[in-house]
Amino acid sequence: MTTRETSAEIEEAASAWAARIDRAMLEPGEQAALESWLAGDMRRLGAFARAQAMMVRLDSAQALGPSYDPEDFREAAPVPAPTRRRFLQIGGAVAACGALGAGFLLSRPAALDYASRTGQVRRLALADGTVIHLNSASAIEVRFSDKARMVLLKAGEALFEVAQDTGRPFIVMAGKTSLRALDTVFSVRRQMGAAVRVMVQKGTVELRRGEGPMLDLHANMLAQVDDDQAVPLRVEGVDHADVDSGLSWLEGNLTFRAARLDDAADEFARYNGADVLQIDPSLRAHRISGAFAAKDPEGFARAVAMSYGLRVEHEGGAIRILPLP
Amino acid sequence: MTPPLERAQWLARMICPHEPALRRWLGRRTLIGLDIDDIVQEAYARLAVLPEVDHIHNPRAYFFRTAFTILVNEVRRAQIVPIDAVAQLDRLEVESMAPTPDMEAEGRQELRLLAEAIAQLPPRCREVFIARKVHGLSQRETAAQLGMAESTVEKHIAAGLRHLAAFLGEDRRGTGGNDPARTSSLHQPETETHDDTRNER
Repeated sequence: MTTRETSAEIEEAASAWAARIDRAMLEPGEQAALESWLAGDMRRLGAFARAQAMMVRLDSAQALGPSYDPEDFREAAPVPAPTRRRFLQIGGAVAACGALGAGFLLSRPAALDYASRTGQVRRLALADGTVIHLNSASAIEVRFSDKARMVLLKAGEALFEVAQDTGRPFIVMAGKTSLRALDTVFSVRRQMGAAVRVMVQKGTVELRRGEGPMLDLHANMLAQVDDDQAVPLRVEGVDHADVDSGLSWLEGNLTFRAARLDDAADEFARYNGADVLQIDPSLRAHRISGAFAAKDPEGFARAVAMSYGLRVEHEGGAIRILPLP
Repeated sequence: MTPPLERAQWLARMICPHEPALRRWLGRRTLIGLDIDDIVQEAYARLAVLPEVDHIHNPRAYFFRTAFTILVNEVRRAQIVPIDAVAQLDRLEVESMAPTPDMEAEGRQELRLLAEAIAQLPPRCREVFIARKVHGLSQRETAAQLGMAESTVEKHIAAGLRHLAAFLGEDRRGTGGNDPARTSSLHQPETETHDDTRNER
């Protein structure tokens, strides 16, 4: 009796076949060789199916986008330390243009873009130990230098868990609003046509609009800042529950506390695409409270219909909430 | 026969994500002379040759049951009856039907998991996979961009597939249930070391 082929040997051959097929169509001779190899042992077919499934599964990696940087996902212990990437970035830049002077280059680091798709919540671990959570359909640009850590919030909402680095302040820019933080947790939301909302969960953030005066925001404070200087800043204290519900998107939830139905529908639109929920004009001012799965507008609609005695209709991809006839 | 592409897609979406849990379940049994990899490979084979999969409403449970059938056959064939296996056979149904990991949450984690899986590949291999799968180039385009022979790209793809299968198939959640600890366990500083040892079992 021959020695039984090991599963590892089989896996090796199966992966080679999957890689070969990924390169180009098999020649008839190769196809026959594959068929006869597969027929030799049930496990071969299984290993081959698994390798091909792996190739298919990896197609989703395209959603990581062109700015995918493996270094962001190699982080190990949450110890803030200069990573190899930053080191290489600086080292490489210095080496490339030594004659121009390192100082010039160090103050102009490469910008890294990150974005999340609709419905996606992304967690980014940065080189300095800071963690950024991107809410659905959001985009940021990260520029770290030896002087400062700059993040530009281009659209959407992000939560920043800022790692302490006394030598380099962490600054978030959202429109004309700048936020300077150290060892702080805070979220910033920027949406078309709406004021920038800043909510501080822990620590202190220095807020500044344009060239205006500096304002300290402490934990459990919410600020709404319009880009238009003529609109006064609005700062209010919020309780723990407000902060928690404001951040429930981290768990994929939307939490409302006496929110208007049309506002709630807008929130669902952020995760599920525009107009996923259509509220009858007569119902817009109804208030709703509770926690709902952000990606389940249907469940939300049913819950609302049940509590208010309404009905739900479907039209195309949209869910409509209407009064009973 | 080679399985059709749709089956590979179904396996990728509905089955592969449960492989760590299945391995965990199999790994808890001390079965003399039984190789978990053998059982997993054969389970994939049985799913690959099914004429239809539309009737499978709970792929996770189906995957577990398939592996269980293979296990029982192997035990019978080998004429060994490990006490542990018998004592725990009835638990299979319970475990595989237990609240499956929240598919929604899984979906959100999938992309991150792939990002991490690619990140832990050996450097050259990683470049190849980023070009081929993240940037969506063909093997030929990848070869041109990285200045490699096409045959080298193919070899990196083959080697990378095994690394990725090991990384993504492995139980990375500890012994707990469907907890979010998986994310944190991925933060352990174990990057390249386990890659090459995986295939020697």
